[in-house]
Amino acid sequence: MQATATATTTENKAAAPGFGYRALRHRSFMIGLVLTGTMIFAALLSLLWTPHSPTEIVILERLRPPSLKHWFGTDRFGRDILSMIMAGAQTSIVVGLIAVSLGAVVGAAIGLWAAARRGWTEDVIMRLSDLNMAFPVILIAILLTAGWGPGITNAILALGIFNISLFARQVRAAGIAMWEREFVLAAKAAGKGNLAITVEHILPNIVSVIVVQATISFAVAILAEAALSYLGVGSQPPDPSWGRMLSESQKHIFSSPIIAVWPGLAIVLSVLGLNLIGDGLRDLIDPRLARQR
Amino acid sequence: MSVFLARRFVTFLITIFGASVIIFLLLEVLPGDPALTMLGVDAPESAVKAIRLELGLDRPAHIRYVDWIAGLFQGEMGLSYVYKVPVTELIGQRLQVTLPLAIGAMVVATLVSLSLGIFAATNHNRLGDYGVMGFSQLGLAIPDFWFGILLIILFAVILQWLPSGGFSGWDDGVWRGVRSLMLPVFTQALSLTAIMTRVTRSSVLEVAREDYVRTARAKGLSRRAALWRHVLRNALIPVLTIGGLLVATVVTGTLVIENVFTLPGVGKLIFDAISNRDLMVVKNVVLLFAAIVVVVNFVVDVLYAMVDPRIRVHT
Amino acid sequence: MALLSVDDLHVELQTNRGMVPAVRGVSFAVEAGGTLGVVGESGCGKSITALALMGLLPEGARVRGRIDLGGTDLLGLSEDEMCHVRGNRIAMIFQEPMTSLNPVHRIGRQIAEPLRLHRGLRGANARDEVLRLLDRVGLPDPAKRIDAYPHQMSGGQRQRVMIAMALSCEPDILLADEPTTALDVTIQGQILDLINELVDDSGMGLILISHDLGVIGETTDNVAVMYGGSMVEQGPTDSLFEHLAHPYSQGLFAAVPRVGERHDGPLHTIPGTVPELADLPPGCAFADRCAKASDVCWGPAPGMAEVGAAHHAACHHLGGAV
Repeated sequence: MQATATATTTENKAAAPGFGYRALRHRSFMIGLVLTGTMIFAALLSLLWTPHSPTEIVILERLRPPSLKHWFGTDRFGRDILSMIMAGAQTSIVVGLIAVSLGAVVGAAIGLWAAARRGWTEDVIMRLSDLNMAFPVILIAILLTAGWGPGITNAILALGIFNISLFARQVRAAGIAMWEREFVLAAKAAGKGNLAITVEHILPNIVSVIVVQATISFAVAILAEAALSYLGVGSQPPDPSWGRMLSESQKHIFSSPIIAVWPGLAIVLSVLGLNLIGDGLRDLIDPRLARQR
Repeated sequence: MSVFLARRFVTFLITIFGASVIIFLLLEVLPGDPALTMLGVDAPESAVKAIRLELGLDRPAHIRYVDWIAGLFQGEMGLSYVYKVPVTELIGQRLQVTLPLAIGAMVVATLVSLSLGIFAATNHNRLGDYGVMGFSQLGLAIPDFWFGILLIILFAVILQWLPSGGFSGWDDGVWRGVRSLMLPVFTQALSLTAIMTRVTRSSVLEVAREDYVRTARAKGLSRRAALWRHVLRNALIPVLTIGGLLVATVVTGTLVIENVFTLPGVGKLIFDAISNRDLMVVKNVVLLFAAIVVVVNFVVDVLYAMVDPRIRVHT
Repeated sequence: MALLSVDDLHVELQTNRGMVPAVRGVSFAVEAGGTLGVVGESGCGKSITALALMGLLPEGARVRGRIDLGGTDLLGLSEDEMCHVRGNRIAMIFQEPMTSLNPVHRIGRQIAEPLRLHRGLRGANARDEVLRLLDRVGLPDPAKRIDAYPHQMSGGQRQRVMIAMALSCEPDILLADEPTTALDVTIQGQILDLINELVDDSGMGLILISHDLGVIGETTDNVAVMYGGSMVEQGPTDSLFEHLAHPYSQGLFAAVPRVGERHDGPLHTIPGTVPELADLPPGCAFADRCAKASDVCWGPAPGMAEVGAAHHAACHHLGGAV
């Protein structure tokens, strides 16, 4: 315990320059911020303005290569690809936001509950989570689609259910470790109840775990939404979606392969940005952990 | 150890049972009448009646569930409504594509990621290390189906070395089959390689800092000899654990990859079954996949318990 | 000409605060059959000195000076050449027998490794030699122990295995870095006796690193006291223990409670803490903790001066003048 105490003091000393300052000097974190910022900006901008309509069909302009008028070219219906990608960012962000919020709120609450109660409550939650692990996102989406027909809700639900289980596990593990710390024992000795201790001591100390996981999960959600939409069990026409753009682009892969490049790049840069932010946050929040990695 | 095994085995059975219940509920109970799910709400009454009789859908749900499970114990999965052949036969054929794809991807990913991870660790904080880590960061961000499309553009469209998709079966010669599976295998291996490379690198770096590696160097072993004789065997334990867990990812990943390359595997089967509303096929294939995931997780748990000395000591 | 002579050894380590001097101009010599004890608090540079002799400094370390072993400057050797020296002409025993053996290999194989490497012994020949070594270090029932895994042995037994490994190629110099610190008190004596006996028998030179003055006093002919990366006092063990010249040595010895002595009042302590190597003051490194320090101590560092027969110390205030 002695060693931990010393380690904590040095860590605080190292944290002295301030989070913002260290964040600015963390190169990959800043790259991540710029990439993710660009994606969010593109989505917001597309609500007000896009170079062309992302849905308007102009048969005369179909499959045009990149030009000054259409920077990224047009698809087989003559739609402007840049506009579609900007609008597609909306879908990715909405799906990601809902799926991650479900996990971060519901899943984290369940995890906190399991950590506080232990015993059979925890057992039941963990067995349910085991069961959930038997169904990777894509299987849940397939089941929902086979039963209810295709739709973006399937993708959101599938990802949400998966995230609830994932967050519950992570938060439970982090919470249990926290419950064993001295200050929690002290709070218990002072007669505080489980709920009060969870809110005052456990949650504030594991918020970083939740934030980092949320960032990574957001990236995973974007990848999964794209894959599900590519397979036809995610977003449906005419909603713009990067995954579906890719599946359509494959029909013209021999004549216009370039069409298949843009949506993929959009996905890669968004996911890369979020992953870099997640890794960066982990470094910035816990410098000791960063050194170990 | 045996107590641990028994406990884990019970969990395993409960999980498989729970999975089958969930699949049944989601496909045949919650959406309403399965006959309507299969034919569509505007299907003529006579057709709906016919399919109910044919598939026994007029019986109560719990009877149909018990029937399904009892059939599974006898190796029966029922008839595909669309293809009119036993589902077991369909799955058996399709596995001839899916299994080589999954195994090939695991093999490629293991070989590449071990080499890259060890290379990065031995060049820690040097250019090679940064290069490998950058590659792995990128590999994690690239959607595998897009990587497949890029490979098609490069090797099928531009260079025209390999087919862009399709698979004509193993009967036309092994080489033709292998050629068709090459791009899919590499596609499937990408994200796997990215993850395992990271794990290998950090595991090797960690073990290299152990006291016994310093002892080995003090005996006069060169850096390389110490790595091969004293670091790797210890460092590979966590890598294999992660690799085992990734088997589940590979198996479900084949669902996507087969659609990129229009391979007639189990993944293609299930998506065709969804568009054909062939509930028998969907139900059984999803259970098969869920079962694979659960079995793999179980095996990994047991293996881990076997290599973890703290558990070994207690036996 | 001494068997091993180290001359003005400097080592700088790479840290997140830049290059930091860890060893600052250390010189000493060890004769064949001679024993040198190096004593000092943790962080004084004694282990780094040992690793420099082995050529096993951490990545990014810079080293200069001269390490002469039988006429060869070890610092001038390539990595490949150094591999022939390690485990062969210089061998080392470490502090932690619990973690210094590879958990997945049988101990026989681990001891045989230097035999194969440096003496080309294989198969049955190597095995016989390992059995002889295990017997030599006093491990009971070697024929059975040779196939044991490290986790099946106690700390003392593992340290005997480490010693057998170090002895296997009959090195000229044995480096022992705190070889008994991690062991039970009852075992410590046995291991020290074993090391002493082996040194007497084989005529190799021993460098024993320890923070424990008792261990040093019992085992060695010569002692070097290190502080802040430098040697502050050096001399024959008897003479040095009798007449401590350097204020740091005096403080170090005064801080050790002795059994059978009466104690009135608190134990002696040295005020202040061991400085971080990066924060060492210019001049005498001990100045800011020294009761005798005066203005001159903050100027240029003092050189070694003779205070007795072959007994030297580096202090501006030798001879009692305060």
